[in-house]
Amino acid sequence: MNTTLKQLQTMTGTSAGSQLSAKAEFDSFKMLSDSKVDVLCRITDSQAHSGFDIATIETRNFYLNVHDAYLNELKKMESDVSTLKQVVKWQHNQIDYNSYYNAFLLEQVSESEFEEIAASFAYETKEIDDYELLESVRKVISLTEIEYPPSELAEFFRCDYTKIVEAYRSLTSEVPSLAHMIPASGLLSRVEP
Amino acid sequence: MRSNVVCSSIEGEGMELQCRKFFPRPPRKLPTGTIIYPFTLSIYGIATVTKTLESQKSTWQTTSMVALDDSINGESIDGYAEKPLGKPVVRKGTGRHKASFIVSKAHCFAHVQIGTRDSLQDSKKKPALL
Repeated sequence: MNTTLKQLQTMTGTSAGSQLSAKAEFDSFKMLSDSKVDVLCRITDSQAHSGFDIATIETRNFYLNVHDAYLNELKKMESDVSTLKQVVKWQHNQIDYNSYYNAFLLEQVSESEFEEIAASFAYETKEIDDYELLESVRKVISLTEIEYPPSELAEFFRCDYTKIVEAYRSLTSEVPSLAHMIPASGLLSRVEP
Repeated sequence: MRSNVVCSSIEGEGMELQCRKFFPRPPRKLPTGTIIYPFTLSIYGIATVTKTLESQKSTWQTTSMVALDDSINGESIDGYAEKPLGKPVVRKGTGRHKASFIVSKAHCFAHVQIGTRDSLQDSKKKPALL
C-alpha cells in the first residue's frame, strides 16, 4: 500500500505526539474485538518509491504467534531462575555446614556438640521420578555449566547416587565429558536393606 | 587388592583416607535413623580398609571390597563415615607432594567417583568399538 504518513495520520486520527502510555496502548490491544476488521499495522519507509509501505496482520494471529511465544519464554526464564535460586541455597547450606565443621576441627566445639549441630543439617533422600530427574539434571548442568560429580547432584536433589549416575548415562550423548563418571554396568548395585 | 575403576568401592569398620583436597559434605539421615557424614577426597585420593567389618559382608554396595588393606584410588573418591571425621594429619603423600591423612574409626564406605588421570588417558587411547 503506497500511503504517506500524513494520509495515515488523517485516517487513524492520531498525531506524532500521541500521549497514550505504553501500558494503556498494550491494554487496548489486549481487548481482542469482535469486529470484522481487527488488524495491526507495520509502517516502513518504502525502498521502491517515495512514501510508506503498510503491512498488516490480524491481531488475533499476532497474539497467537508472538504473545504466546513471549509468555512461554517468560515461563521458561522463571523456571530457570527458580532452579538457580535452589542451587545458590544449596551452596550456601554447604558453606554454612563447612564453617561448623572447621570449628570442630579447630576444637572450638566438641564432637558431641558438633553431632548436634550436624543433625540440624541432616536430610533424608526422597523418591523422584526418573524422567523428572533427568530433565532437572540436564537443566542444572546447562544453566551452571558445571559438570558436578554424581554425589554432589545426589545431595542437591536429595536422591540416591545411583539415580544421578543413570541420568548421566542418558546425557552422555549431549555432554560426552560425563562419561568418565559412569561405571561399567553391574558395578553399582546396592545391598538390599 | 587395589582398584581405580569408577564405582569400585571398599567398606570397613576402620579406614585410612588420603588426599590433597578434602571436602566434607552435609550429613544425611538413613531410613534406619543413622546419620552418616559424607565426604569427597580429591586430587589423588586413596582409601584403605584398616579394620574389617565384623560380618565380613558389605552393607552398602554388593561389589564392595571388604578385606584388610583393600584400597581404592582416584581423582575423586566419594564416601561416608558413621562418625564425623577428625583432624587430618599432613605429611608426605606420594612423590613430591604432601597429603592429608584422615583416620575413620567408625563404619566407613568409599567408592571411586572419577578415576585416576592415567586411567582416564588410557581410556581415551583405546580404539573405538567397531
